[in-house]
Amino acid sequence: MSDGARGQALIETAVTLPILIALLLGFLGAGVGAQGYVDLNTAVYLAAASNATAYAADPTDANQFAMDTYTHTLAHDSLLQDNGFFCAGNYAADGNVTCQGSAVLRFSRTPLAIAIPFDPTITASATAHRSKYRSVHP
Amino acid sequence: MVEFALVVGAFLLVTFAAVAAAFHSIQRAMAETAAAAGVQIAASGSPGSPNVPDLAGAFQPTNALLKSVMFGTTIVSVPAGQPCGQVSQPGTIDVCVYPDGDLVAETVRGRPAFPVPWITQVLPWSIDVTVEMHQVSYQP
Repeated sequence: MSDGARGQALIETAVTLPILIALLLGFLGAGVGAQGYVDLNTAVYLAAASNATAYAADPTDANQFAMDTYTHTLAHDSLLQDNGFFCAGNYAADGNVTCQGSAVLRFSRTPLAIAIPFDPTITASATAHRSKYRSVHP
Repeated sequence: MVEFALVVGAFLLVTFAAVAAAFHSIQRAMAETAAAAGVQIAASGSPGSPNVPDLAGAFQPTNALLKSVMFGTTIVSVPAGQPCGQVSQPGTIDVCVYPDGDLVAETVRGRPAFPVPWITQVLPWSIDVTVEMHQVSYQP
């Protein structure tokens, strides 16, 4: 192989290899991002369901149910850091309550921090319907 | 020829890694969904006693969802009330449901089998998902 051909091969490899590595890290980053979003979505969904299964017409109790569910579920997830949670809506029987949660997706806690040097904030929301037969606090 | 072989090798490696990562993401997402489905049953009252969580009732819906993506994996129901131990042997997933104060927790933990058997020996990919839900309150 001539010097020219050898140089061309080196340049081609130098161009191709970073692209392949970037693709690989991109796939892994997308996977971790999806995982974080699924986890947050599940925590908010369960929190809204908890809110709807508390006694009717008692926002304090219902919000505490939701907050307990949200914080305890998120506490098991090392990727997510809680960044705020609230619920609002109609707390009476047959009403809808919407909860929204926000969390920081900590890429910095994974080896992917080399390629993704920031921690994005993600949000999720869920709406739950309280049964019209739900009883009030005794 | 040599550089072509190298590029093809690297391309196949990246492709395989992407497929493996995607498959793992699907399995983990389903584990989260399955645990959420199970814990809602567990946080509800038992048929004969509305104020006692139905811990044993969580496994059936969890198992039904898990087995759709856990090919060749044994799904084990840990006795109700016991937290999961360490990650078990490859090809096994444990489902544990236990009380945590006023909440009920469900954990799906283990190392699922992979379509390419040797990959589980090389990659330490495991699933460890825990969700919790406040017990449903009933008027006495």
